[in-house]
Amino acid sequence: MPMTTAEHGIDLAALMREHQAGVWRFLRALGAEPNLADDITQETFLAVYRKPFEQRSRGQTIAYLRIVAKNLFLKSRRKAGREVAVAELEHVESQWTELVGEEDGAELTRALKECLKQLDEKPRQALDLQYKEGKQRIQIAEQLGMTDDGIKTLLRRTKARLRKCMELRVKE
Amino acid sequence: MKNEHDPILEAALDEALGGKSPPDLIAQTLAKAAAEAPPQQPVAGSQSAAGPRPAWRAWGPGLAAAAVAVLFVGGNLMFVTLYFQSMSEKEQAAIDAQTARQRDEARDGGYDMPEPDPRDLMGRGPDVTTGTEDNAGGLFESDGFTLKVTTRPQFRLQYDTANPAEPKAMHFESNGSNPFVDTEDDRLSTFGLEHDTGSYSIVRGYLNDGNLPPKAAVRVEEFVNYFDYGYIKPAIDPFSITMDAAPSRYGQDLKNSYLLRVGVQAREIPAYNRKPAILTFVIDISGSMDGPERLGLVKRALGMLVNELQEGDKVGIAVYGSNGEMFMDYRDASAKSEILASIDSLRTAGSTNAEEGLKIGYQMASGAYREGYTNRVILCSDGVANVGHTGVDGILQTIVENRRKGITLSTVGFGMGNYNDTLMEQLGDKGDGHYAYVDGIEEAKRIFVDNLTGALEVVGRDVKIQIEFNPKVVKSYRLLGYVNRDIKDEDFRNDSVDGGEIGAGHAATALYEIKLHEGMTGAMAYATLRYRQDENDEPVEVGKEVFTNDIAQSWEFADKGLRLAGNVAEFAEILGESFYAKKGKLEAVIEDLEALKYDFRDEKVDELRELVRKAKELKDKDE
Repeated sequence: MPMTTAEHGIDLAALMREHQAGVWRFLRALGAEPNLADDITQETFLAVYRKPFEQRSRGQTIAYLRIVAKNLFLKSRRKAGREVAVAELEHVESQWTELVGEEDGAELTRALKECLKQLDEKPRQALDLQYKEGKQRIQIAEQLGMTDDGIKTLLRRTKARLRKCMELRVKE
Repeated sequence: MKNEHDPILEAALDEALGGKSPPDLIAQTLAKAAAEAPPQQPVAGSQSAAGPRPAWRAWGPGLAAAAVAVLFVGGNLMFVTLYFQSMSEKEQAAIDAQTARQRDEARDGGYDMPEPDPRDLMGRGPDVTTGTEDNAGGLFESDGFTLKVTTRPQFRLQYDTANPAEPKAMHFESNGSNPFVDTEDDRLSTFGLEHDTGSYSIVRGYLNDGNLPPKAAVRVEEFVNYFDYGYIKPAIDPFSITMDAAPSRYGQDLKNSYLLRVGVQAREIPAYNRKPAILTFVIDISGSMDGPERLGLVKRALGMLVNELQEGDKVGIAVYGSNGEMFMDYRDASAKSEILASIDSLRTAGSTNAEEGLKIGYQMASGAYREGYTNRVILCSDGVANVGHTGVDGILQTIVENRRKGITLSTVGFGMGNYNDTLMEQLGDKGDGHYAYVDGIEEAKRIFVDNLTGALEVVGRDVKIQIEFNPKVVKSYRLLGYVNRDIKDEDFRNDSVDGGEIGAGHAATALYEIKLHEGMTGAMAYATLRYRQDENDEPVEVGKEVFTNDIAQSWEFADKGLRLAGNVAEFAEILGESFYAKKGKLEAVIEDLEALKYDFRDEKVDELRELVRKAKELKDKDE
């Protein structure tokens, strides 16, 4: 039987209020789709609720939550029969820690939004079609009057630029 | 991986541009945490009953021993999918014997079981019918095991060419509602799952026009299935099953009464991964289709669809008025402008010969048939059809024969007034495709643009579900909706009996009102889902169990999706004037939808709130 809130002193709602966005974004960065991130975020906090830990500092709490979330994510991937490149995942994880630190990742999104403003019209349109309208590359190519390969290159270059810009801004 | 894929940036772009930002999950998680700590201890053995089969389940009719295995791993349910092989007679006999033995054991075991009646065992006894307690005016009869609906929908085709808009030509077939069934009389509930939503759009049309819908136009399951409940989308398996429950908010007697939800979610298939499709449109251009809300809407809707198609997809068009004819031979979807021009040149003419139109459509589709493609005939009509020489049976036979060949049929209804809902639904049902009703351009977009892959790519064919209730815990149950989807319990594994179809990314939800025995806890029900992935595949089964532990502490703590579904069902039941919603008030639905207002970022839910308000105003005026 799980202990009740009073027994082990975890205020689940308060803990979630503070950390759910961070856990969710972390899972998304690991490659979880939004629905899966929803589920694993919940599972993460439930796991912590079932098996409480000693909260020493904010940093340790965040690190602990990320470990639980990552393990649950790995478990779900394996359960779904998907191969997981653990090394790659750990690489992403360390990048995330470096970029986000003890924040919840909102800063990263804000930085990206600023970077997007600096883009030329065409790459911006291509990104909008991909992310706002969920269009496939081939449809984007058609709409922008470019070849499929052209779009591929455009998107790759734009994304590399955005990544750099985003990193610079958050590290400032 | 340096430049190829950058998940951090992808996630950030998804959030910055696509609006995929972190949701507030606190209420949901608290509800789950609360559900893990129920006030009562579960009955010993119910939770820990590890093994291939929960201990409480008796061998019900047609349930094969090895069909479904459930393993408990660290307290979590794990699904094991096994391919089902049809039982030999010997195995069947063994199961028969076991059924009898288990019943005897159950009786000795102390809980009340009725004296086994010979006709009970496999439901094969003399055809004696006994009414149930709550049989809602004698509409239903029970043979002890199987609930039969005596008012099965019939085809009654009517048309009135002189005055097509005359309301009497409107044709809906009343389905009534399912009664409460005592678990001790029949612990199995079996039906075909389907993701149709036509009834909701039809009723929306009525309400927006300022009229209350005829009650027969309301099908509860098509209301419930119109909404998204955010079920887990399986990555590999074709389906996931979600089961949960909450104390009932609606119903006649709320004591020990709970709302149980069984949600089935089909895997999503990205648009670029779907099979290429050969689409044959059969378009009704009879006189009754004249007007912007009929043929005009058909043209706009098809225009939208053609724009979504990809190279490799093919489109052909047959039309019918007094006669049927091929209107446009197949063209590749890359020739968009030619196809669109052809659609635009459609004009209405003559009376309605749907049979000939479909015949020509099927001839075209047979000629163009290709293995590995989605071969689909799409009938666009207001449904008012004369039936040529052979009557509706002739049409149905053609549809079934073609389905076996791999050519499926979707029906899309347009136009109100003399719209024949029953015919369109039944045709789509027989054709293994799906059925939708388009009441405006928004709905056309939802069906032909947003859900195109789901509409074209069927993930599960002949989808049937059987819920086995634990008579120790569940006293009685009532299935909301799915009235004309009823399948005999013993036909669950009879593959000649047709089930429903569920397309990629689609979900189907079934709701039960259940009454528990006072103070009993433990396993409540076990759901077995059976389907085939392709017409000629072996059927597959998956299962899931639900416990009293899965019941939310209160309605307010229940999953928001369960609450929404409960409200939608109550709305439908009140509009459909269900016997069980006699005391129901739309005010209560509005109140709870208001409370849920900020839990959904979904236009459909906002629209629902407005529709319930409209319905309430109209009802108040009526009284």
